Amino acid sequence: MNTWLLFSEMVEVFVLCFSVILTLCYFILSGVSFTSIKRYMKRSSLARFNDLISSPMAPSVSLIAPAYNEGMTIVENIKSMLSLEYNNYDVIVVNDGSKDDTIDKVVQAFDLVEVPFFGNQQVKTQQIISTYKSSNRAFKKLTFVNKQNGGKADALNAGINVSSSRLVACIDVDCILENDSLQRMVKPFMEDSTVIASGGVIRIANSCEVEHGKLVKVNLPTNQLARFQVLEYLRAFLLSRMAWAKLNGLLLISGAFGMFDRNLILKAGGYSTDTVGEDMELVVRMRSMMTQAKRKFRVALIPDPLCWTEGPSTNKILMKQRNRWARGTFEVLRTHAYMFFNPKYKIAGLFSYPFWFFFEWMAPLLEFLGLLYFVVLLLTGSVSWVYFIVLMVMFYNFAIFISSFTLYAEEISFFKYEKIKEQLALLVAALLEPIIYHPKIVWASVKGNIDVIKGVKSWGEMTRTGFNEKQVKLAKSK
Amino acid sequence: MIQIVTDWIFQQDSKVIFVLGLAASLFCVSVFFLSLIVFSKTSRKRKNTLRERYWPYIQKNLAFIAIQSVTQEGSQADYSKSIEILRALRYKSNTIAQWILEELIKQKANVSGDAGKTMLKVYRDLDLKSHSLRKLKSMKWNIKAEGIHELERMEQKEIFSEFYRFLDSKNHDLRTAARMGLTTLAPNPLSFLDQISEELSEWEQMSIYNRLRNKTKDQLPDFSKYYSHKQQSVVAFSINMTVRFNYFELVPQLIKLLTNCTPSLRVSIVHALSQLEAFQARDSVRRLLQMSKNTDEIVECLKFLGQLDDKSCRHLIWKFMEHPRVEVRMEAVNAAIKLDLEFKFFNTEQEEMFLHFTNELIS
Amino acid sequence: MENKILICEDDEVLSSMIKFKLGKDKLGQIMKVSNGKEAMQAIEKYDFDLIISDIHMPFISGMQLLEHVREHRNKDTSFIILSAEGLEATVLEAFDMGVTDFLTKPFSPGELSMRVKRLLAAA
Repeated sequence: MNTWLLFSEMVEVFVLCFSVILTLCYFILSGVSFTSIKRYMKRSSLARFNDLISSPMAPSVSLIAPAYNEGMTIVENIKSMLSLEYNNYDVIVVNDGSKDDTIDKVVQAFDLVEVPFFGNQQVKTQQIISTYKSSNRAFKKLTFVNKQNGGKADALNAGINVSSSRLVACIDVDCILENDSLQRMVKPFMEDSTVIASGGVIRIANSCEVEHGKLVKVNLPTNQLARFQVLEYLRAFLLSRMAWAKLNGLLLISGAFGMFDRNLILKAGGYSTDTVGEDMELVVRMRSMMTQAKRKFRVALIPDPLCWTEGPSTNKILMKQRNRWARGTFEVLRTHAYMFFNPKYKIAGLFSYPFWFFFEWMAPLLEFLGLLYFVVLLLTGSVSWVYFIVLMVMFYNFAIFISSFTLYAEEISFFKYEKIKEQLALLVAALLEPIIYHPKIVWASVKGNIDVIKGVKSWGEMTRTGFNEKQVKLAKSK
Repeated sequence: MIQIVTDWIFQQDSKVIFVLGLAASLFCVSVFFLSLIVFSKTSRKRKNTLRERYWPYIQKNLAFIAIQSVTQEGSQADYSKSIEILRALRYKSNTIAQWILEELIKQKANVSGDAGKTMLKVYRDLDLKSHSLRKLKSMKWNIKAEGIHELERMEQKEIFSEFYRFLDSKNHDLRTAARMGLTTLAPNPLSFLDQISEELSEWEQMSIYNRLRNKTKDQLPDFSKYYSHKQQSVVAFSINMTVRFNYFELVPQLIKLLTNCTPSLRVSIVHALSQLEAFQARDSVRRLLQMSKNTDEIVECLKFLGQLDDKSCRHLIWKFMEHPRVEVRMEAVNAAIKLDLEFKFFNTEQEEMFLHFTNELIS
Repeated sequence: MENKILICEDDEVLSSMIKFKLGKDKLGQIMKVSNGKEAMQAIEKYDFDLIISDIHMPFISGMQLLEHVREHRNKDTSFIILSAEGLEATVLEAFDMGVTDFLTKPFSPGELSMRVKRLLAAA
């Protein structure tokens, strides 16, 4: 009985320490992110982007969009990509062995003709079957690459091989980019020669009005699940990633929109094809490559809402997505475990990696274990109810604190949800989130981790779920 | 009631009190942020009502003045009437003055000719210069930088000397603003380059070039004097400018520079030489190509030789078609094709490259 | 019959200037919209003889509008693009897309009016 008491005492102390450190971390992060956002807003109001788009010295950019079974929307999406406000860019759409009519539609819509192309394999990829260019000069920015199926990372690598630009912007083909997105993403590379990558902020496009592949009106999603994601994305980008970028410890640039130095991606070996978290893996690998080469570098983040994407609107797809994210996180953290509290990697090794390890990867598992522990206590009848309730209130208040900070950060910066009604709805979402939405996320993470541990034995059978959820989504929206 | 609560708290464990304290402080912070949101919303709303009320007047009167002056039919009376309305608005509040100023700056970039001149006249008549000059005295760096921008955009040439004191500001953005202001307004636009010690960022280089494009050739500095600058980025910039403004007469100096500088600069020099089509640099580049170990350098040299119509370089170029790096092989094939289209490839890779490049040449 | 002209320009002052100028020169019936979305709606509703559009607009760009007009609407509609940048690549792309005329800002309203007059007379 004594050991049990000791154990429960230890658990309580652990929980306390954990939550105090967590709170402290978030206090610091929110402070850093606040100053960083304020500064960014001041700086961007001073920058003359017109100078950039009218300059022949603008660095060349390739927009690389992998497509898999996107026949229904691809033509509209490509047109939208071709009409961004930037003077030195091209668009490379990589068809990753689609089984639908993607090729025919694109070939017809843009008058494509097959061109001979030297398949330079600077990063090894699945074979490129054919390459197309438009015979209509109005679309001369477009290159369409048809290759054998190899997954999203493989398709991106093929695009990087084909590109000859200085910078590559890797995006999801169904994302909606703002017209000025390239200018803004290019700026950090031009201001600081040590920038190796810059990340964009992703926002939820559900219920927004989209015409001709462009976002014409921002609305708060009517779907409650998507609303929670709005809040979650705001929090992830405006609070934590903004702060990590400022501290130069950013480990993740979302696969939906990120820009990289092409030469450095090639040097790092391109996207890894054997993880589902290829976006995070690439950034971590580039960081560690630069550190090992003893070169100064920075990974930037542009907080402007530049890329809008449809979030899952049903529980099933959401769980699948989060399951994949959890697996991705696990795989990346395992691959780069050498960074854990490694002073050689500076902020990334001493803070970012441990932060990801404890608060992004482990926190959901701990929450789940805590619940199990509570059930055990309940069965043995030794629950200290007062303590339990106080603890729950504390956790709830913690969640509210983070959300209210996020809403404030959005209010002073980009202010995309203008109506009072929308603001109130966001507040309600913030109040409900810890009770309704958060448990789902925890459960999905736990399942993801279980899956990945099971999958270790059968590594080769790993299925790529990345594109499947999009298919479901398209089927629903049309 | 309070009594009951405090009694209850005192009965509890220390850990419960600790957690409760934590919860309470988190709650307070949340309430604080939420009230900040409300505060920010009301001030935004106030500004919006102000704009709704006065903006239409600004818009209507500015458009009216601009077009009336163009058609010459408008009498002086029309102009004075509109300018009186604008003046009344300008002195109403600083916010409105700022709106008018921003609008004038925008329109000056939009319209030229008489309409553009009228915008400058309105600027003078409303004495908006003092509005910007006051900003230079502000404590905040971003306000100062804004002031500099405004004066620069309205081309207030006589006040450029005001900007010198910001050149050694601790704030990077303010420094940049001052540099750009001087580039536009000062009689010798790039004098600040002499004292630069940190890197001249690509963004600044681009901005400077954009401003220099509006100048006549006699206003441009002699870029060769920066070839020996201790800051690499300034040297790279001046090499780039040499190309952009077609200073063919500087080619000999570029060739001389090629022999004593860092590899990264050599790359930009060879690039510049091929842009300037400097055939006299052939022997130096050939020598460099034979010795170089740096991939970027080799690629640039091959590009240079490829566009010379000189078949004597053929064998040297062919040697690089076997190079271990694919980008070098590609450039070598490209150069070989440019030298003679009849060029015979030796393996399938070269054939693929050949097709790739000939297709590019045709389209 | 009076000519119908559409002005798409997000800068309110500039668009009123243009409208004012063209109206003064009695060039036709003028409608003005402030972004690409409204422009698309206007084009769906009416048949314009001439469209003057800024290249950089919120939401839908001038190029996209041009492409839409050329592909789905009247091929003969005159289309003038106004652009803050006059880079060769941009100008060439616009002409490839079938633009009738291209003006780089800053431009003189008088010149624009003359060009409009000529285009309308030719049509």
